[in-house]
Amino acid sequence: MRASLIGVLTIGALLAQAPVKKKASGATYDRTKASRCWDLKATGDGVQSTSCFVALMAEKSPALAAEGTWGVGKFEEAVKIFELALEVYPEDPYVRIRFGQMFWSRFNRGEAVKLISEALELDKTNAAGMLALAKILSKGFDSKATDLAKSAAEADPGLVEARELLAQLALENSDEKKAAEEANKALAINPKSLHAMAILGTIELLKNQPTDQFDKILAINPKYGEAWFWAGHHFILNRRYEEGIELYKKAVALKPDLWDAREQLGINLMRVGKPTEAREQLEMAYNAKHDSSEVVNSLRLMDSYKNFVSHKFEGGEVRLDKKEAAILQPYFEEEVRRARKTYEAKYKMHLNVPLEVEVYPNHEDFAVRTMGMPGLGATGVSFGPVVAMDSPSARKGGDYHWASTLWHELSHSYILVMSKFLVPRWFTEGISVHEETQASPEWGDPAEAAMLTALKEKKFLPVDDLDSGFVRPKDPMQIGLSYFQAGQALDWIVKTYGQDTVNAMVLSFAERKTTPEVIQLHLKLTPKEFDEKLDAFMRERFGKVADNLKEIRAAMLAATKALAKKDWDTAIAEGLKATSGYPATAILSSGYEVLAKAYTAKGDKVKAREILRQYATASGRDPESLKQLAQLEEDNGDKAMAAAALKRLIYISPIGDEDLHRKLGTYYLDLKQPDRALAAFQAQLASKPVDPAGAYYNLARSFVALSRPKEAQEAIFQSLELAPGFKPAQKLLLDLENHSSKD
Amino acid sequence: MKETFAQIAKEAKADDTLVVTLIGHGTFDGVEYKFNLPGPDVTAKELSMWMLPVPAKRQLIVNTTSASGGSLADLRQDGRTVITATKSGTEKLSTVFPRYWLEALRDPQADADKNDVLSALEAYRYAESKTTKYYETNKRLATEHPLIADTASAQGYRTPDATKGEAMVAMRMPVLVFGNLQNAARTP
Repeated sequence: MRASLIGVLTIGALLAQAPVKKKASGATYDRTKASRCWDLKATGDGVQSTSCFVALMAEKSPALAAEGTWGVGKFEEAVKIFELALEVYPEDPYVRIRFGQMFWSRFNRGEAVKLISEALELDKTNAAGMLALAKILSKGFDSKATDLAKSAAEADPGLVEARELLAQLALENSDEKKAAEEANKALAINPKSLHAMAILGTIELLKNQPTDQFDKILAINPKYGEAWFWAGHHFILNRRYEEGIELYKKAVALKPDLWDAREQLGINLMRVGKPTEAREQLEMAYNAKHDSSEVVNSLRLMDSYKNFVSHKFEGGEVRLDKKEAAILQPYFEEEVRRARKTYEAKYKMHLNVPLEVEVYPNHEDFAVRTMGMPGLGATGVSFGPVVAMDSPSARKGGDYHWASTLWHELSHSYILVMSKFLVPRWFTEGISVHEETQASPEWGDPAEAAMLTALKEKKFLPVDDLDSGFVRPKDPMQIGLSYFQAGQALDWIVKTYGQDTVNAMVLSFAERKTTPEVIQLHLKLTPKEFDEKLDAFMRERFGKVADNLKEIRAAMLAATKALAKKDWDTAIAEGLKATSGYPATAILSSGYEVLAKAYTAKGDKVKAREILRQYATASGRDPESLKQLAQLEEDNGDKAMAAAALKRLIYISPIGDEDLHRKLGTYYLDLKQPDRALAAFQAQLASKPVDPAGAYYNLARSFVALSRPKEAQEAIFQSLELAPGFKPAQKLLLDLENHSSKD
Repeated sequence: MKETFAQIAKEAKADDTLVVTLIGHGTFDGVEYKFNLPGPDVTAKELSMWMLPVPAKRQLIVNTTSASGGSLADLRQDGRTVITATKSGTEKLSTVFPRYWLEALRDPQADADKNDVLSALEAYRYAESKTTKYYETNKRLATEHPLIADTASAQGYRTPDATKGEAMVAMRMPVLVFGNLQNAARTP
């Protein structure tokens, strides 16, 4: 209350002197007074720092008063005083920088960036401004952060924080050598740079080596929990979640009000499937007004967990939204079981814990679950044995192959554990991308035009720098290119050296060997030789299509135009020109679709079927096209092929399509596969069908075929309750009763 | 259209069922709904007036156009079931509801109670459900919300609840007959 009153009085006093404006350039007030208070706060001396900030609030300079008001946590009042300071010191970049930094401390990135950018417009070489902006950008893993931090260090060689940040950024990029160099430069400027010591200590910890850096830090400042916080940060980036969590716990034990650490502790506890402990940490942060988007979003997400149901089985657990659990559960369980069996045999390892899979129907919930923030581009993520991913309902039908994503993430679960979480990003992503098409050649994402162009223009990264394409991509496209390149690399290694070599490479990574060392040891190649061989492999696969992209596109366009004009023959001729003789790539899908339409329009069912089969095996995923294929297969009298065509849609768009499940169930019944029919009809019933009586009847037929008469009878009763005059159901009931009376 | 309705009014009997289906484009200017035709458009009020002299006691009008919700207030009356593709005149984008309405007339599944008679309510439920799922599976913001009203005072129900007595007239309004009943109707 006292601080509040002081704050109000200070604002009043400052407003009274507002007309007194100063035109100034550079520093116009004694910033060291504020720095002293912040230094006291950093050392954990709460009483001294608060007294210092209260004293600042009484300063005549609104810039200093704003610092004091910010320091005692009166943020709204501090905003007003900072605004006043901007009027008093309109050309002083530091006021804008500090104002921006306060916004950043309150999670308002937009205002922070705006103010600091304005400061840099006033003084382009302002080191503090560049450093402040670099810190903000670094949180989003923006590659510009490093350039800005370098510029800040050059502009002010004594700016220790710039070197600390450069060390941190280098370590985030897994460049331990550079990180150590920068940390040592920081220590040369200030031998008591705690952040620099923490970086050096973390480098040792990441190598599982002993370190005395943390003892040194705590000898200087026994409450410097940030040391463990930063160590935890780097362990988490290296996907060493359990160790990272323990480090965050050490951070908050040392400094209980280190809310950034509690926030990350909570988020990572959530990641590894410990929601109760996570909520405890996040609520503590929230109640202390650390209401960052990450904290608020995560708490909201956890509130929604009541809408989820968990299904446990041997070796796994699937958590699904109640609304779609009945549809998805059998299919997810089947794939988790199959993946577990496959991977344990292939990687020659056994996971002692169940594989836990969380499936989110709302993509932004998945993003919050993963990052604490919405806006994530990925569809799945593995935190060791815990996998979180989008539900098929989170994406437009046809855009997303959930089973492919599931196998991708479960592969990570094994490889991360097998490598003790030390495998480099490119290698584990490469294995996962490779596994997508091993589970089924139709799965995975086929090469897109951008990847083919990159191949032609030699834009792929060298293997010893491939991790940067994932961690700190120069542009959004580079992430996709890096996934593709890594997948191709593993395809090539497996094809050339075999799976056992891949397993051996993972184990070498577990021994902390670097990418060049592992490649040399197991493939007998230098990184440069590896890059050359990989390029040759990719060119052999995709060179023809990459070289003819222009011609393919022209033919595709001509085919599409001819189709619009109902010139079927031209559409077919151009469509064939665009697709024939080329390997499966994303750009060919529309060519197959055009061809199928043209053949269908001409009444040539045989050719239409042939083209749609090619389309399906080339990862074609348009639901209508696959349904057309199923119909053509049925018309041809081949219900097994018809069922196979529709089964593809179970992996692509199983939600909200009762007809898919009904037809699939009917095919399976005809094919004498009642267990599969039962799952399909249960999914139909869970899809809120327009014909529930018919759905129960179908269910009853499956139970009859499975010799489960009681359940069949129950389903018939349900059907007749909805449609008492439903003759087929009445007949089935009679048949059942006659059969049981004979027994 | 006016002449056609006048002709129907002369020929129809009280026991007949009048079914009017509007497929195409409709507009709503904030006050009045219009069904767009070559030449002068037809307002909902005009349509309602033209249908009034038709003696058929069972009347169904299915307005599947954009902005069709804007016609509901003018079209509804006792003994007439009104189905619209949109909930208001402000839902102006083209509709997918007619696709599923026509599908309901062809798909035996739409006859949910399996009595070989497709009622207006059954066909509506089929088309409404499929329309909703269309937007859900395509991850598109739903720009149409169908309604059914079967009394002069009804505001229109999205998902009528028979246990609350909603859409009881529509439940008894036959649109199509299947199977044996169809054969019987053809060879009385």
